Amino acid sequence: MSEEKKQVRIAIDACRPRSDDAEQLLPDNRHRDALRRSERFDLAVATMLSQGDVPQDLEARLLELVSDAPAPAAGEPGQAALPWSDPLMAAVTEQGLSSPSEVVSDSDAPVTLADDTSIVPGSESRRRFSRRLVAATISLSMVVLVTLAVIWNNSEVDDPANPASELADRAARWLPRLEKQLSDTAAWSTSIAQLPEGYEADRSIIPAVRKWQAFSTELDSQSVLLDLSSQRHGTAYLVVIKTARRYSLPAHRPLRKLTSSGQWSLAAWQQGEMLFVLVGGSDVRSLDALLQSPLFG
Amino acid sequence: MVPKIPLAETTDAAASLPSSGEPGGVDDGENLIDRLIHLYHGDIYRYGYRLSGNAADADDLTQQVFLAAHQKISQLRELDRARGWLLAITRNQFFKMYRRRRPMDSSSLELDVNQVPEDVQKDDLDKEQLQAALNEMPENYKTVLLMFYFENLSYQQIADSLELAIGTVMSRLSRAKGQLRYKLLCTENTDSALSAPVE
Repeated sequence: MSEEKKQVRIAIDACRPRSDDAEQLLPDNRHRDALRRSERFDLAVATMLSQGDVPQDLEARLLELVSDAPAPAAGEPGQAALPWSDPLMAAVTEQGLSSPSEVVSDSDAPVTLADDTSIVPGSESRRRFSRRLVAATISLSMVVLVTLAVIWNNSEVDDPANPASELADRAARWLPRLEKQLSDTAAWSTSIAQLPEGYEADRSIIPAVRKWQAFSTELDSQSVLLDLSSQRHGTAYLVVIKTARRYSLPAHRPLRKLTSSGQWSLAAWQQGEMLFVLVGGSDVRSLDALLQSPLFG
Repeated sequence: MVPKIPLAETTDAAASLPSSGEPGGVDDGENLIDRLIHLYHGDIYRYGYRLSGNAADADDLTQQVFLAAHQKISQLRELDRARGWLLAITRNQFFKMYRRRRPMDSSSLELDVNQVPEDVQKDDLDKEQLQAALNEMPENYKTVLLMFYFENLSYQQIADSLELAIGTVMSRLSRAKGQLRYKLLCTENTDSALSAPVE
């Protein structure tokens, strides 16, 4: 194999499916066929790797395990904040995690200036000044800490749910991939019975689900895309996401409009952990018309 | 027909978690670890299984991972990355517990991507062969392969994480994938056209 071919093969193998890796590594289109083969193979392998039976009692055993474990060491003294990198992981896996009992007690605390008795004779006033300085420093630190805590708490209280605009930004980023996946005929399944449990369409949806496919999102790797398109209702898709992330959204129609981009209009609603993002084509007059009114409405 | 499942997003899947300040947020460690277990115990167990090659080790590994996560839960500041955090703990914990076991490199035969059939589907692959291929693979190959497929990390992220040169990672990844393709697609019954190894 020539060196050039070898380099191309290495570059193809480094490209993740449905990513922009290929744009960086193989900007020309000569290797499109090989890239497509590689992508198909990678998707098949990735799918198979992510599947497999998990012991039924594993979750219960894990919950019991952590409930019996010592309380987490919260903010060990002197431990610097660690970034998201391998040093963090190394810290996580290191032996002998600190426990609260290992925290240095007050009596073991380093001696402060105020406790220093080795100061030369006749310097009482200097010692008093030092004590005042220490006291003032501590007081000032306390004030700063309390202020920061108040600001932190207020920021949390003021934001119980995430703004819908955040979801709109996310959904807008999904659109290019969604359009790509729509045309991937091999990705669709017409077997509605095989939909992952809990990922069915909301009952208020009027059009029937024609087919579905996996549509991973950063909110839920298992989320699915349902095709609701019909002659009567127009082109419509529903992204069903399971997430504990709460957004400022209604639980039923009228839906919260998220964004419009090209031929697509997006709206969303949320019921508990189920988040629904409705994607309507230009032939859909009203996204709200695809849902029944709430019974109590 | 079962739809194919795309690789996890670059930004990391997950985030089925409350954000800081919400109930179950960062400051609610007990609740948070329960949620992490609920959401990710399957992923962690499967990753452990792929790394170790057997159910017993995967089970032990999963327990170690969540114990470690429980202890260090206060360091979890970016909840959107919780899955990636746990997968990285799994990988590190695996190295710590099992790195002495070095599987034999039974075959270095590879299959070029151009020789892969046009439209490989999940059902074309044998899951037992897949795990057997992983078990037989040199550990340094298997590591980058699983970081690519399971953690969905780019070659650059893998290089950063393992502190290796990008070229080394790309070369290992290519050889690992070549071996995997050969072992999955060049079985005894496979068409002879596919059986020609690259090197």
